[in-house]
Amino acid sequence: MNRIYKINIITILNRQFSTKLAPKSNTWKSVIGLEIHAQIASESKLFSGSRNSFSAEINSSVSLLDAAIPGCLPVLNRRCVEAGIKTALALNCEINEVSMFDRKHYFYSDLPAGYQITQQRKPLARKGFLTFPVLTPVKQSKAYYKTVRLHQLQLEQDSGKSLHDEELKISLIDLNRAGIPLMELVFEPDLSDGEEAAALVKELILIFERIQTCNCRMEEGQLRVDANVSINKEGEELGVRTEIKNIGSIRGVAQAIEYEIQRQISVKDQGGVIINETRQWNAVSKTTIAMRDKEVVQDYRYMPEPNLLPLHLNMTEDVNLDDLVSVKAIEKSLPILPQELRDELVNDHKLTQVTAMILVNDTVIYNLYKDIIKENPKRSAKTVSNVLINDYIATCNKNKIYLEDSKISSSHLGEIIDMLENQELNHNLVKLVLQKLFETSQSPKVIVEENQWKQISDDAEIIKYCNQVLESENGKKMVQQYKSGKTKVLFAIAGEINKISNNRINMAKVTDMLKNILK
Amino acid sequence: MFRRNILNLFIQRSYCNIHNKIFNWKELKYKTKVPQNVVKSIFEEKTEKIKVTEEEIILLEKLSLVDLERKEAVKVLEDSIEFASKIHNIKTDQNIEPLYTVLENYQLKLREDKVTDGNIKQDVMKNAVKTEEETYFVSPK
Repeated sequence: MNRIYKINIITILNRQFSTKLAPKSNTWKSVIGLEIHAQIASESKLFSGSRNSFSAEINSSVSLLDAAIPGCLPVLNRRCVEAGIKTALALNCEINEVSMFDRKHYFYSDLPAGYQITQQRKPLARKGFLTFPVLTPVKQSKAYYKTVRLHQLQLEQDSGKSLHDEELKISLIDLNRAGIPLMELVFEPDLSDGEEAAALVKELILIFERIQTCNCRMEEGQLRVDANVSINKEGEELGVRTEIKNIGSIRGVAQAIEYEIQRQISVKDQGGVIINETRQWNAVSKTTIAMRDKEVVQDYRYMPEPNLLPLHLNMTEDVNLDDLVSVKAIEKSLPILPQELRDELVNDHKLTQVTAMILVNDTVIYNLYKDIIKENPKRSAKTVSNVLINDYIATCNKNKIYLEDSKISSSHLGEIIDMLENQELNHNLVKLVLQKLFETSQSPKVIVEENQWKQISDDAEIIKYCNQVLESENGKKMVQQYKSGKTKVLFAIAGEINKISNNRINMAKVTDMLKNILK
Repeated sequence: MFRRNILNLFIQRSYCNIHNKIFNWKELKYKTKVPQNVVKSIFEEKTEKIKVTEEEIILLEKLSLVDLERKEAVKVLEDSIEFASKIHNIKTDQNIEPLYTVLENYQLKLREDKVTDGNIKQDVMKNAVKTEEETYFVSPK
């Protein structure tokens, strides 16, 4: 349940902790478990026929059921069951042939029924796991795979939204979100730091993009992360955990958890005690703040939902009947998942693990890669991935253009790749060509032509450049050094030659030629 | 019609155990299933008195928004808990899955994912005690 709007920030600001915390102590171990709420991409709500919409006029996407008018009964949306099963299969879950709905009671003004329909005793699916790459932005070479277990996946309703008018001291309620379908994914506490948690969320988003059961617009609250954080020392029991609620971005997940770990360490190192509480991540001040809504253990008064029969699934046959969703049929329709894409890149395209991780991590980049290779399967996977990762992304960043907004086509990028492979262009000029491509959108061939960036590979011309350097004062010195045994100087000479050719000369040929000349 | 049959079956099942014969509507002496005489409880009577603490009352008031300020109200609450506590004396077999509904073998009805409702703001807000420019509900303080 989303409680982000419920906190009167001003009254608890004085509880905020300082951002200056003690340096990290190596003896502490941190344990993290995530609970993720994902809004299901459906047309209508979970139990009513009103629209599942983020931007509708206030209180317009509301049916009588969503407003809890007595006498209405919930009818389950078939698409939501299918989405839940599809997600559960993608996360390697055991699916329950029969699952049940329960009422979880809250007394909040944006929950008109006084309870949320969820699945507690027997959820849709259990016991899944997910293996995902941990690729931190700072140390890309130290990438590794991590596996986290999924405790359960359940279907439930979202609540409405409360807005607090500080001036008039009133709470305004919009029920458009009330009843929007959610999948709650409860992960086991198998993670050990913020980066792993962020990587798990990133992988989930990639999976959702492929299976299209959630649109993952985190800024609209379609994917919300709660993190349970505790610290303990090696060999000790797990520490008391705090729960950080509603983190709304991938970087926020890493930052909030890292902050909370450091805060707990500094509390414990100063002899303090961690209390089991709910904290809120403040993305502006980059701190977690204690919330006041969980001072006593909540009793949710769970009870079986009397208005809904148990949900039955067809586990064995690939036929879809009216009220019986076939798990086998959904299994068949499951698309290729991110991990299979990575395996394909490593096994068939012979790319390294890290390259495969980076390519698959961004759908735009992966699609460009796929299109460039598809256009001409003879293109080298290594060159294509190299240009995309090292030159294309960097140029986009430099021009402050989001990858998804870039208008550069895969065929233009392919042209650059071909010029590289045909030795018509030097790799260190690729960034310049890309920059021109952003500015003029001419074809790369024309750009290279017009700027005279074509590679120099004519032997006679190369010799001219070689001689120019070798005959200079500096060149003569270096030749002497080379001849006295410092073979590494050869690269310095080649570098000089490259410089005077404006980065255009064929370096492989230059080094070969130099070796011959200086023999 | 089908549901009625199932209901019959269910009633037969529970009555069979008592009368050891097939249930027949026409043989029913009284046209009600409510016992006509006082039936002694089959549960063990528990005499232990329930006491609710001050903190528990505060929490319950907060959870339920029911005012428990009067002494009589607390007494009713304690008696209710005591009455309900009898259920703990029933011996249950842990190996038997609890029955949540007599229709547990029926499939839950599913609905096609289509927008068929909503855009009835006036109806939805008709019962609101207080609104903000008829756009938002305003929650009580």
